[in-house]
Amino acid sequence: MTVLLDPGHGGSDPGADLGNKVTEKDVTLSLATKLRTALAAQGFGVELTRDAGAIDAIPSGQRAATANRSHAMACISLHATRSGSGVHVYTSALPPATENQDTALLPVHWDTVQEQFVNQSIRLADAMKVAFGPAGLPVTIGAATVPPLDNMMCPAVAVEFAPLNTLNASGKGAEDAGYQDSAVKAVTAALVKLRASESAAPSSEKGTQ
Amino acid sequence: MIPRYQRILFWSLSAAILVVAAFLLHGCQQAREKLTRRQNATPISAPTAAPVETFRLAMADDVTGRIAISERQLALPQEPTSRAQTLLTHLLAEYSYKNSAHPLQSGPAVDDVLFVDLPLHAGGAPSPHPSESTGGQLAIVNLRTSFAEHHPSGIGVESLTVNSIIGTIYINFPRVQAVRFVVDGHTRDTLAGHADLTRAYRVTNTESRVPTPEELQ
Repeated sequence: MTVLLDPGHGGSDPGADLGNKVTEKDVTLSLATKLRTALAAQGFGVELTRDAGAIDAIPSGQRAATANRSHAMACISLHATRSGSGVHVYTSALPPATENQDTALLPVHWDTVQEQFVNQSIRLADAMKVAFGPAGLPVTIGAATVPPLDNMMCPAVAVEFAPLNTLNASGKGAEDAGYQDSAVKAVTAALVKLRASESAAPSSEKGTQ
Repeated sequence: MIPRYQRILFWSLSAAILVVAAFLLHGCQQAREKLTRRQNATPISAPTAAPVETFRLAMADDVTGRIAISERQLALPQEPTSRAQTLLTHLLAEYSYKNSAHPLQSGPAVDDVLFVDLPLHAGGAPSPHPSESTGGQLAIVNLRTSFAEHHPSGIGVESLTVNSIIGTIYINFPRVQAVRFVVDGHTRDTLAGHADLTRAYRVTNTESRVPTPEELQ
């Protein structure tokens, strides 16, 4: 099973300034690299939408195209910020496609491709919420209109890491190695559990790929 | 006895200090006059008396990640687009106050707001959504580049700003069905790297549901 990791920003697009000359693009790539290793150790195939060599900013359409070619069981877009606190897992704000809709006969609009996968994306977000708790990372789930989620033909979430405001880790930002390690463990645990549950009882809801 | 050359040096330096001080004072005076000339408050349109009225804003909170409705009182213009611009300007200005729950940089944020009747006809802007075809209005919120450039970057914080604007429009302008954002009249991919501004947002109630005790545990 393949997991698609999308480290946010990159190249000429630094993303958010996280302070101390740390940019979001470096933190997301660091997280993606660690996650790739952890997931590969669990037997997942892992694809990234960019690597450290990217010079130009990667358009969101290109990221979505990479995701759609991968036929991944999960597409995870990684972000980091200085605003807010804890881990935020976002699914697409699109309404889920209706169950009885015959999607094979209808044209699929590029901007609403994710509609077919919203329910699976919510399940992925729920699995992450369950996994982040034991890792000691406060997590909230929400919906957002953020590229390239709406263009992805896979269960997709955007995970944003904000500074921790817990008693043990006050003000610790996403650039912190310990924070990243905890996050990697939690995401890996969520995906392992999701893979096990899907293998045990294949979902009747499949997207149009 | 102080040597003569030292006295000459002392008086020369004193004179130089006085000359520089006079030059600086003159410069300050000129700068002040220049600023005063720019802040010409001569009215260019007839003054209108608007009664103070109560209205509601959808206020964002970064810590909780929620939107809550809050009441305010202000004299608002009656003309819908001016009213919308005043409301949104007031909303975004509140975020620049000290101890704001959703801190944003101060400064002008909304250039203007336009209302366009739906459905749009051929030659007009594209329909925001196939289902947006019966009556209602599309609001076009024209933000300033300086606002977008200085907005904090992050999915959560940008989405809260967008939802706060949408929620405020939803409460105060029931005919508006969709909102499009432009920045200084041009389309822009994202607000500050995350929230998508290329598409129309459906206007819905963005007020966050209060979690149940079970959800809080």
